[in-house]
Amino acid sequence: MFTFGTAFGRSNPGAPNGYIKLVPNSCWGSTVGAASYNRYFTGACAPADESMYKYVNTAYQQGLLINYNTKPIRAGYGSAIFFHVSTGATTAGCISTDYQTVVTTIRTTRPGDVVVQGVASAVIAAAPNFANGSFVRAAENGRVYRMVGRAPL
Amino acid sequence: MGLTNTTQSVINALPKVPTDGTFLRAAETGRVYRVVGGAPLWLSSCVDRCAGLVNVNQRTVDTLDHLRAHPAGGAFLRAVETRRVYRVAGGAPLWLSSCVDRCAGLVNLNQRTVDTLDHLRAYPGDGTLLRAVQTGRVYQVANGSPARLAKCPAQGCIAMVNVDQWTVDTRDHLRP
Repeated sequence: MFTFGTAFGRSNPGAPNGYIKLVPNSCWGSTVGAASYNRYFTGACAPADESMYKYVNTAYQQGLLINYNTKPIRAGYGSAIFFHVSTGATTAGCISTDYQTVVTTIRTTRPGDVVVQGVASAVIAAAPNFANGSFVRAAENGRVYRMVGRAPL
Repeated sequence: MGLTNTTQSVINALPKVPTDGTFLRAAETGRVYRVVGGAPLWLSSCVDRCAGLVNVNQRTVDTLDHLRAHPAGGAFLRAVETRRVYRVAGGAPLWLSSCVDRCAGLVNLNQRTVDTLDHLRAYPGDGTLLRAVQTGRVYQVANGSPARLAKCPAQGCIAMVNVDQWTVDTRDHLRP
């Protein structure tokens, strides 16, 4: 389970928590041992670093950092794990989905929201099981729901 | 019951509709509903002792918040007074002469609920596909009437609902 970090991409679609507009020298550090490891920086990308601008019209049109190996950053434990637009190909550890879902996520994600990764049956089994008839309130908007047959009405 | 604070994203990840057989009561009107295939069907009187009934607002039911307008295709209903069994296809309750698909997940309610078509259609929606299990015949509904197909449509027999041949022949909730 990981939290989201900064959003990034071609242009800000309405991110409430900061946004990195990619420019030609946007890089994500992936050189083990470098101070820039698993961090965004602008400058000359080293061979192991990722040029984010290279994908600004494809996978990185819009994206969000997934806070994997960020606090603390440990050299060699993995870098550049993003939630980004799908190109139809497999990813190398990122999560990709359709453009609109990424944009909606960027616009609506609030501090504390998490990404849960795992086998679907295990993730669903881990979902909170509010008792029938209990009340739940969404902290962000104050909406109150009553749990009925496992669904929030 | 206490109030638990959580986040909207956790709530959004919960099931989109209540489980089949759940009872709701609209506090303002006292109306009791039972959820079948995601839709709230109004009961004239309690069945199964209305076990686990939960009070909500009438508005919750009326606005179909986390509820469907009609039960999902394939849901089974049984009217407790007459013991008639129906299967929902295209939103309409089709009377079965005998169980198909073992009547899995059958939910008890009142005959009146079926007769008054509360959150039910009089006829299945256009394009609904039915298969008579005894004969294997496939029908597609148009304007409420089942037309027999020689084979599945080009896009396949998507969301086809098994019923019995008797249902089709007697035109229960189907037009001639």
